[in-house]
Amino acid sequence: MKTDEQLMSEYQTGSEVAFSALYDKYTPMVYAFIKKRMRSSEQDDLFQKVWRKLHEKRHLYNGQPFGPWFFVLIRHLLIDEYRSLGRRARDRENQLFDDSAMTFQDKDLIEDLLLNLPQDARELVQKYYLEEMSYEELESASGLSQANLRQRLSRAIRGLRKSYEK
Amino acid sequence: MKNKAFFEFLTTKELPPVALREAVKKDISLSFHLHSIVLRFLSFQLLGA
Repeated sequence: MKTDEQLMSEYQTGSEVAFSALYDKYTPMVYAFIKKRMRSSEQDDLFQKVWRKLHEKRHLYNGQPFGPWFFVLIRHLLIDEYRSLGRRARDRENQLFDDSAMTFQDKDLIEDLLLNLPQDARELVQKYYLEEMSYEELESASGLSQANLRQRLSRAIRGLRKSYEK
Repeated sequence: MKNKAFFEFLTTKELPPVALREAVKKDISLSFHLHSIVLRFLSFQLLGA
């Protein structure tokens, strides 16, 4: 199975199949994220803008972890959208990525989900996503190969999703 | 916090309506073929001329 980074690289060189795989994988995440932050009348439009933006900016991708890169792209788009919606949206923009924008239930849920993971997987998720360590840094810290780390991280995220869906 | 928002992004899923999902996919898929469609159109125009 191909990694997101491999798929993105193939997408850059014109593979529609690779685009389709990324689209199918990330669509539920993108939509849920937007839905929580936009009014219903704005959600569909922004969802479309996200994918068009990815398509337009795909040449800028240079092999970094795809998830965080794509997330930054979505974040910028949301900020632009809030600005275009005017002043009333400014509060929402300020709260968009602020800790306070998450409810206590959200925080508890994330902490619970993390606690469900085995310790090594939990540490890996925390280091990669919360401490923003690169694969290179993780490789030298853990002694595991980058391929192995990607596999473990992918398994951990699947585990988190499964716990979330329960 | 960016990290928490990103974490939420990774762990929360909801499928959009099928019509929206298909429309966006079709829109991007079309742009893969746009170049060849334009080239074909231009070559028809040239041949026609």
